[in-house]
Amino acid sequence: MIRSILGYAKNFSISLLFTKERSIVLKDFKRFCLGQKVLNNQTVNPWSDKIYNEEERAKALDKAVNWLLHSQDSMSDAGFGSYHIINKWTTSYVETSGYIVQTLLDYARREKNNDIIKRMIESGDWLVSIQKPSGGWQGEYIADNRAEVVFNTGQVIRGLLEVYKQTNDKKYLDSATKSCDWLCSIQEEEDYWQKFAFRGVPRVYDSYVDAPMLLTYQITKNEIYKEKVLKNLYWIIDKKQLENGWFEDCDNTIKRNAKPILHTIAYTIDGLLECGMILNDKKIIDAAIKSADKLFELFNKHKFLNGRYNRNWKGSQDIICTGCAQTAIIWLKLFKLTKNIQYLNAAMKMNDILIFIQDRGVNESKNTNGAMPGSYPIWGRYEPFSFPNWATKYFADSLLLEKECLKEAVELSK
Amino acid sequence: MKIGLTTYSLDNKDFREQLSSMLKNGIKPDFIIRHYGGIHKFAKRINFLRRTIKQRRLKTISFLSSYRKKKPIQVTYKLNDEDSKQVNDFISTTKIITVKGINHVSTIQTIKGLGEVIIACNSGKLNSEVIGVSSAIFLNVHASKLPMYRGMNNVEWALWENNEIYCTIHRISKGIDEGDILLQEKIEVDTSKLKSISDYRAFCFFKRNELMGKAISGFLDKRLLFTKQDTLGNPLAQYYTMHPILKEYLNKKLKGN
Repeated sequence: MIRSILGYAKNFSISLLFTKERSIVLKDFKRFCLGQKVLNNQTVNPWSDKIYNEEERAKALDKAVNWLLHSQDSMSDAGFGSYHIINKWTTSYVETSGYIVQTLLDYARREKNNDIIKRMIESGDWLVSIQKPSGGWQGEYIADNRAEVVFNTGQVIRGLLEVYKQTNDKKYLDSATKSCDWLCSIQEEEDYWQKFAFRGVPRVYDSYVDAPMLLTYQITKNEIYKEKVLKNLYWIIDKKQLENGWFEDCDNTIKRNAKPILHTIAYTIDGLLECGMILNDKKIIDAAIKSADKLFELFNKHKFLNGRYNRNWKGSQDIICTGCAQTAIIWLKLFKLTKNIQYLNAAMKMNDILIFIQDRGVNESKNTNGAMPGSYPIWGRYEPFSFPNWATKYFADSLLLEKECLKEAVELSK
Repeated sequence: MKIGLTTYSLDNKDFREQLSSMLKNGIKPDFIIRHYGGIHKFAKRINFLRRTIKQRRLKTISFLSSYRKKKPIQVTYKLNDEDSKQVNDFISTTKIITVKGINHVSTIQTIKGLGEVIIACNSGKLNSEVIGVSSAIFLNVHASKLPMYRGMNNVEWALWENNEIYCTIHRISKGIDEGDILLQEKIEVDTSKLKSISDYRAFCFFKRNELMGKAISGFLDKRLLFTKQDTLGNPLAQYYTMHPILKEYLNKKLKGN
């Protein structure tokens, strides 16, 4: 507690006195603390009257992509780092570099941008070059030189499979296959991952590892991948999902496991949904829908989602931008699956909030312009005073998918 | 059984149309409950005005502002002079009970004192204490084929999904638009006259209000009975405010672009 207060005091004073980003902190103070009003016993949130048209949404997407590219330019390798207002740029984060490749390749293909495609292939080469002899990839930042971690490995597979799809070069597939073999070899008898798991504890958000393993299965037809994935998915659904859709063992900490963050809840749901859709398995899809619908209900009731939820879905903590963008992605995927326009409608409203957060309206350097903060306001408990690259990645994903879904919805409505 | 209506203003369009529909069906309400929103309602309006001005200045919703400027002349549906006069004459002779707010304690006491009543509402969301007032039946009119399109922008959602527009008279319950259904009828729409969301809303709400008299008359004659709705408690059975971008596409579709 005392350490936390001291940390905040330090961060506030340094960011306000000695950094160029003080305008961002002050802006968030102005719009969050002074922009919130209570009328008729109801809280009017500062974003509640913000609506962005399609042109503004496209601009927000371009800004997010440009920031991701600037993040890559700021690294000494082909990976992607995050920016902290006080500590400045980190080194490349291996896990997120993997799934950012997926996002930027998607964007580059749509925009027919060969320069970005070239850069992503270089990122793919870099990821292959840092693969551990076991087949896994290290946790956290490259400079930390940590041991391989299950979840992080899964996310690098996503990027490599996209680069393989783009280049048809077998080295990327071989690298992904090697890591899947490693993941299969270390899965526990109880159908979860514990060895090489983050903090050495089994977690349900490994469903987000199952999905890239299934994507590898689709290419290689190696049945062992599918078998291990199904075992893990059924462990999550049968043993860890409550009747109300909440998940046990869902947080990436041990201390706060009773109130997981939206970020990891969304990983879990997205992993289940993606796997269910690949396998066309109703039980898995229904499990994902159960939790996604709960978030849908909460969002429509409160007009935003909290950072953490306990087993009764009681929310706490400020907005975690990554989790919000991921939830919007889940709803957009559900729109594609069910054609229920309400999912798209909710996702568009969520993206309005995220664009409002990104659109700070202050003069910013390239280091922050277009980036999504970890929390809103920026001093929120999750990644305070920081712009983690994964928040911007999911924001870009959400806008890309929204555009696609909107087109589909308009066609369906004709 | 006593019959009454609630409204926050005697000039309210929906209230006057529902009252006219009752009078045409030979139902003369025994009382009108007029409730004021009080200072909160005033503050809410000021805030809405403030936000609208701010939005326009910052051009954050410039496309909406431009839509407002280009808005075509709306096809209006309103009571004719004769019906309007009948409503005015009725209001001038009927008992008007003024309360502080529809969910105010004084309102509960007032309704309790009235005994067995049917109250056709035009009053915003009612809280469970008011709904639970003994033997009072609260009716609401909703422009959709319940249980489809509960909640907001029901006309817009039906048009988006190319479904027919219905209206339903139902009992008000704790859940939004989840009460038992008394009467449900399809609204015949002349698409050649209606070219925008606002046209459709004006037309459908006018038709919707016309149904109130028929529903109450049928209930009093025991020709109509309440039937339960299904899909209660399903979050996806409820519809929410349509995103302005979707509204923009819907308007284009209605104009035939």
